[in-house]
Amino acid sequence: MNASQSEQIQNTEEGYPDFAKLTEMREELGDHFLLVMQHFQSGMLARPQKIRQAFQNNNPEQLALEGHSFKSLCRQLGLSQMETLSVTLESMGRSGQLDGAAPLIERLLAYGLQAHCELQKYCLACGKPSSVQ
Amino acid sequence: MAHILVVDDDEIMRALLSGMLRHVGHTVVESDNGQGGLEQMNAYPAELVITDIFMPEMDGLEFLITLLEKHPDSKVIAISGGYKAVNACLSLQMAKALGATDIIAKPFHTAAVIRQVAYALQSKTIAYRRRAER
Repeated sequence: MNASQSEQIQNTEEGYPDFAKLTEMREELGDHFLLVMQHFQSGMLARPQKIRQAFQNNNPEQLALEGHSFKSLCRQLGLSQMETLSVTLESMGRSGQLDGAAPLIERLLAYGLQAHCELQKYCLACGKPSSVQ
Repeated sequence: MAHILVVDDDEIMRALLSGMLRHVGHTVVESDNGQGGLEQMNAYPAELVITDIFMPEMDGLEFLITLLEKHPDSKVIAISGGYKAVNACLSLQMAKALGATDIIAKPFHTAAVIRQVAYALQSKTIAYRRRAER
């Protein structure tokens, strides 16, 4: 991770989804919205765990794949902070240099939990309970 | 409304795309890899295929090439967010050059995808255009 990437991560606020994007998705998905959101909510918890698992297994290639996959989800929801972390971890995995990855992964886990909660609150505000705990 | 195949190794992106398409009335089948997508097309050809580019095992470009060899009149929309040194724009241009009907970069706007799907379903396939040029 270079100084610029580190500074970018340090200086941004915690990630919240882009609620305008969520509203657009709700309009375009109709009755399917809450089902799709369940997938996103569970992904916000499970995907950072997979990244941590790849790191703990000292598997840079898997770390890069998981980072790449999670990056797309974060982009789709406008989770810019989490996207930045995912891109950085993908890059670190690709280079095989995992020094400094641990705190980024822990931050990604924390933001993922926060994003999960924000998505759940949004779904509840839509008028129907979310089944994802 | 059309029968559409969605190929993406990411189950969440598949759910998103399928949900959008089903909401507007399309019938959707899914595959999590290119090989499965080919098997689905052999069993029950879809009118449109939406495929991710970067997937493990058979990637989207290989899937696209094989699909158009076996089903030259297939309409395909390629989707990518880029991976490794290959950015999304380059990989999608490659897909277009290989015969994709249209391309979509991630992240995508759901409304725009629905419009592109409608346009692709109405468009002529690349095989049709090549035959017409002869």
